[in-house]
Amino acid sequence: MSGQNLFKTKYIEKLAYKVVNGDLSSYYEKKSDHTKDDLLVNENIQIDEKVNLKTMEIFGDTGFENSRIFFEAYKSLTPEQASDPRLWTYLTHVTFRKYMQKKRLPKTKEKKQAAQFILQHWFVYPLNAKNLLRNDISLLWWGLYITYDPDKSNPYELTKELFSMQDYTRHFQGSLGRNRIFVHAFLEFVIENKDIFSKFKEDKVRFLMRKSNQVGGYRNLSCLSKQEVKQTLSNYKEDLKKNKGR
Amino acid sequence: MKISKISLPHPVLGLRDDIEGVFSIESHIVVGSENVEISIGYTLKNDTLSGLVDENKAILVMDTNCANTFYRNAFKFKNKKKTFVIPVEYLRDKVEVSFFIIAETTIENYRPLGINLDYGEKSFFVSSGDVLAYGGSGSFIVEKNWKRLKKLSSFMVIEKGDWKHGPAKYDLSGDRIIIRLSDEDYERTKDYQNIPNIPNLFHSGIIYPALLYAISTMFSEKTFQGVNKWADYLEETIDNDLELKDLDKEDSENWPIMAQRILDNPLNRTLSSIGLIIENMSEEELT
Repeated sequence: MSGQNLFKTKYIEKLAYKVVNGDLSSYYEKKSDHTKDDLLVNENIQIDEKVNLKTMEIFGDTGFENSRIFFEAYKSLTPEQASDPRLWTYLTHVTFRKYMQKKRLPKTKEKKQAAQFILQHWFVYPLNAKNLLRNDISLLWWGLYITYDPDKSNPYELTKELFSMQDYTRHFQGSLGRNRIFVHAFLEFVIENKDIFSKFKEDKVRFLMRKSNQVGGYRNLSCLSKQEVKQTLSNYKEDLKKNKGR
Repeated sequence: MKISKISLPHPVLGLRDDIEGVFSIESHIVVGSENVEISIGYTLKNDTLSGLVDENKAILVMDTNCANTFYRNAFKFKNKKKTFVIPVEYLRDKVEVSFFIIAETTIENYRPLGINLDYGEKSFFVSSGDVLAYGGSGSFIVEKNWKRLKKLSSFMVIEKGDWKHGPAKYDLSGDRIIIRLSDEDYERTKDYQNIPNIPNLFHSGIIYPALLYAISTMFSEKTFQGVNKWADYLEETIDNDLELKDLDKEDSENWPIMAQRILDNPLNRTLSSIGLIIENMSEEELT
């Protein structure tokens, strides 16, 4: 077992600069072109497993399984370590390069969009919650971290729901997404009301998040129990049934 | 949750002149290598709210929020003085704290003493979790190596650009402010950096304009805070500086003052350095 390699910030800034200026050629190369001088080692992170990610899809069942596989290997990370852009940029560019090349090379020929696509999925640049859920390897760790519930008979039930729809990761980038009780209550509400969400799920989830943000303006949702949050969401059941979320 | 600029469906102590009274917080924050300790004391002057707190129908809350680690925790408390401890492994960079009094239960016919006359005879229905008083917000930075925080290099760096000659360019899109110099200028900077008194000239000629640009962009566009680390560091530095914290951030006249203060008066240091360079020159060189 050895310490975890990280890219130096200076190297990441160089990489990002190249991408922003439209030079994406290195992303099609088999290997990253970094040198030893571009690396740091964090001895506090010791990972002893070789992780094989499935490349079928980023979200859905494959995403969920990948999240479990990845988190299992990297479960010793603290949230502070797991919010280090130097770690995630190294993992996307080196350790999981093949996975990233299979799933996350831009299909557009429009240079600006292609650069943006690479920046969003291969980097955490700059560091913020939004970018942590956009980097495809960081997403696997954080997706599980914010949804894992040890009190459930299936502690991964909410993780599975999160990965069922990419939209969730957009909704949970904001301050409500940092509220663990809210996230759990929200996902549980969707699972427990399958009939309501069987059609137009994305629209309805979006509607419910919009309403939650409105309520969060005057009620401190962080202080409510899971049951109380679900009760608040239940107030919109009739609207959801009438497809008002559309 | 930040509520200072919106109107809530019921009156809130601490928001404009909704209710007469005081709800204020004094906090002392110590960022250690293992834990962050937040010690709090509060003043509450409003009989209705004090009564609700005493009867456990309302409670004080410190809402703590760190976007970079998806950390959010609402600490509830009643004691006049309280210390909360958060392990640093849950935090990175900017941590925001806000203080509230919230309802712990449904309160029908809520009509606090000192309510603004504009509300007339109205009373309000308040649910559990609804905000009754707002005690303000603040933030602090968690940086494991606190000495690094004081260093300019923690949020600003000079790099070599990929052009031979020409003006410097500033890049604000990442976690640090990047000053890119032309190949020629970068090499010259490197050559001169170890010569006594020269680095002070860099502060005026290279760093100050970049910092001024960053500060003016950040306060005029308001899209960098909470997104780019350099902006959070700068705002934190300004908020904690005795000479800067009360300056209006939206007044562009204050931006050069902020940049100069952060760099510890670069113009003065530059002139002093020029003085020293002149002192060391021979008479022949001076004529």
